[in-house]
Amino acid sequence: MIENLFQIERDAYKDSIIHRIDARVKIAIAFAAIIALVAVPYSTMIYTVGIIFFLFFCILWACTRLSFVTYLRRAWAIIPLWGVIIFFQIFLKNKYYTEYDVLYSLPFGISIYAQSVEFAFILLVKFVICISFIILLSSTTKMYEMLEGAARMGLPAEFALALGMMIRYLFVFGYMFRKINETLKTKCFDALIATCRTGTASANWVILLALCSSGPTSRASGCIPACSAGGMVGTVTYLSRGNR
Amino acid sequence: MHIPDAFIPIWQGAIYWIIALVFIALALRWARNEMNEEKLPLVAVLAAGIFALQSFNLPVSMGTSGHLVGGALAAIILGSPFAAIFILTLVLIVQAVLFGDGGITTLGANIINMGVIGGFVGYYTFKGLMDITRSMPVSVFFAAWLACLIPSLACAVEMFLAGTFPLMEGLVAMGIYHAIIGVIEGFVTVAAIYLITAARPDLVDTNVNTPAGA
Repeated sequence: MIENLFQIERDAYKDSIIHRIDARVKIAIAFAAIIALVAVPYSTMIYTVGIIFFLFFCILWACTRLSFVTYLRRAWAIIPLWGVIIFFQIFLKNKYYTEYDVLYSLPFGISIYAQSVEFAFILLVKFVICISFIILLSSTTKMYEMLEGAARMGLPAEFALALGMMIRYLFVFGYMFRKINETLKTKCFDALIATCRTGTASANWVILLALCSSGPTSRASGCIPACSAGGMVGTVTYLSRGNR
Repeated sequence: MHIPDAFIPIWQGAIYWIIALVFIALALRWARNEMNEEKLPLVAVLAAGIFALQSFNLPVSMGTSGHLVGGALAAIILGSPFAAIFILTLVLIVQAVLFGDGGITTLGANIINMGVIGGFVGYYTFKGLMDITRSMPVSVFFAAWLACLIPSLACAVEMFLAGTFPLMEGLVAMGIYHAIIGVIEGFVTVAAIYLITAARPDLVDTNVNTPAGA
């Protein structure tokens, strides 16, 4: 997620009619569309509503002058994770149907039901279009504009202040994350592909967090990529590779 | 564990939002009373750090996604479960609005799971265990483990109530998965608190710095 931060902000800095609209209007449109879509009952009515909303989204996206590939790339980063969950719905019965017709019977008593397939598709349509409006909002609105817009819409000052600082640190973390990964890659170790990726990544973040906490403006944050990549983590991974 | 839009009916989402708003108001009161110019950067760094920790999503079979939570970390360092609610609310807003990780209509449910339940379970487990064991690593580890496990079970129950997730399968899948992830969360939280207390003991509000907690 954090790796996409720079690309999202780069997209938000482009210029178009949609980019120039007040952040409050874009927030309101995105949220209204999502609420409307979620409010539609779990029925096949969502297909009609979904087509209308998706066409609306497509028109807005076309006005952003951003490539459709950009949208697909961002959607692809989110949808597969939930796609798995939606896919599993085809094997499950839920409370929205009373009768189920078996489409296919699989070994171990597992069945695919016609109604469950329909329900999974309804969920998919709702989910994809909701995500599309979030992608539209974040790809066309600079983060500080969004924050400013939210503050004007009534976000408490404490939240706005802390969110502003948090976003700055996110970029610092994102930059450090990139540096660490680049340094690790020079040692033939890809932290994202390695089987122990969660452990390695978590260790990196603990180091980042602890050193950043030692003083937000201290010099410690400057030596983090060097320490964690070249010194501590890097040395460990380099040695462990050498031992294989 | 981030429930996306469409997985919970709108009326249930509204109920979770109302409950979450009560706790957000209390967290805001905490922020107004406790958050000074020294704590604000720590809150922001913790929020960014927890965001980063939660970035590593792994799909759970027949369930939602699994990742570290960070509620216990925030609550223990800042000495209040309301701090966890405040920080997790920030994290979840950014994740939902910028990245589409977790929904807008389900944000209330996500704040209840990770902020409210994670924060309260983590903080009070830590306090209780510190009184009994007098050991910071043991108390923090179990607090973080429980603060990862219990919200995942709450998430499974919410999905069941929404009708998008069978209860037993959900509890088993989410429970087992987060019991394992909770071990990682436990080690990460112990390491983070140890490093922060070593570097800046003045920033940590709970009694991990006292001889009993050493």
